[in-house]
Amino acid sequence: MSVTNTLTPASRPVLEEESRKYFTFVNLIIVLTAATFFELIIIVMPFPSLLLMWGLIGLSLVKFVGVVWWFMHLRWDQILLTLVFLVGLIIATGTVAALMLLFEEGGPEVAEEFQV
Amino acid sequence: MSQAHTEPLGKASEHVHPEEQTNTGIPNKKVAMWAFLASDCMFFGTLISTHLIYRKTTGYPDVTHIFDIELTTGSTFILLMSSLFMALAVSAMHKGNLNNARWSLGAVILFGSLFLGAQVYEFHHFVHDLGLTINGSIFGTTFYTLTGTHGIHVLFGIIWLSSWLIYSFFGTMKREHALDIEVAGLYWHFVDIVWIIIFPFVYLIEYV
Repeated sequence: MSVTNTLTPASRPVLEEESRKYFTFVNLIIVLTAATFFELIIIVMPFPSLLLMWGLIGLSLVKFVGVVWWFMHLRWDQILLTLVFLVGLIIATGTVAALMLLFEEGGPEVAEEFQV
Repeated sequence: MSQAHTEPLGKASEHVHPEEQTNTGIPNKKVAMWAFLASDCMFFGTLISTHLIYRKTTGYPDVTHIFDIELTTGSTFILLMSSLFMALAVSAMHKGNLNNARWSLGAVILFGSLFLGAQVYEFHHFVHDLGLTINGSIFGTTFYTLTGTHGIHVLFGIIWLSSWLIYSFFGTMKREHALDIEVAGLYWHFVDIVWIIIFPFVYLIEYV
């Protein structure tokens, strides 16, 4: 049975939008796969550690945003959902950053202080 | 993929979902799932930072000879592919194409199971061949806690999606359930983005 045989005027825009999404998803998976293999390649390249770290952070960020924005439909959903997720993400990122900075300065001494 | 489907399109569009009549205009299930994912971000944030802090302060041993980075890269690719099929399953449900949705869900479950199988193989290899146990060292503790928690999330996702796949064969899954599949999909994609963070900051970082 062909899809077009049972189309109603109301469902036609939904079908067209979903068909457009198909190509977006395929393009996105190509980018995500390329980014993953690029991550693997750069760690064996003779770059300085700091550059490598920022490279990995950048590539992870690209992949993270790609999945959240397109695969998880935030691109097409209401802004409220983005805000709800951002609240958790900002708190999580802030916690990680704060802890990393705290232990960056104190080093093993701070770790020892917090040991139970 | 086949364009065959089991329910005429447009039928559901005339049906008003009770979920749509909310103050926000967004189905409550979807808002609840996003709120849960936001809280899960904080949960994984603490696990990842714990691993990174102990790595920095206690001087983890060189584990590059322990890790099988090719296997882990393969697992990452597998999980990314599962995300693609999950997005296609949600899209097929919105189009009312239950047959395509069923095939896509099957692919997600297959890829998810492959990922889990690779993780079980990795853990088995670490414990039995290399002696890296959860209570043998701080690295073992933080590593297994973080990756194991993620693995449990994957397992839960597989069970959730499998239940929908089984429902689809008994006629319980209809186009009206597109929102339920979308919510399950959000969870699955989240599991993927957590791995996107774990892969470089637990595995690749050891090679830097």
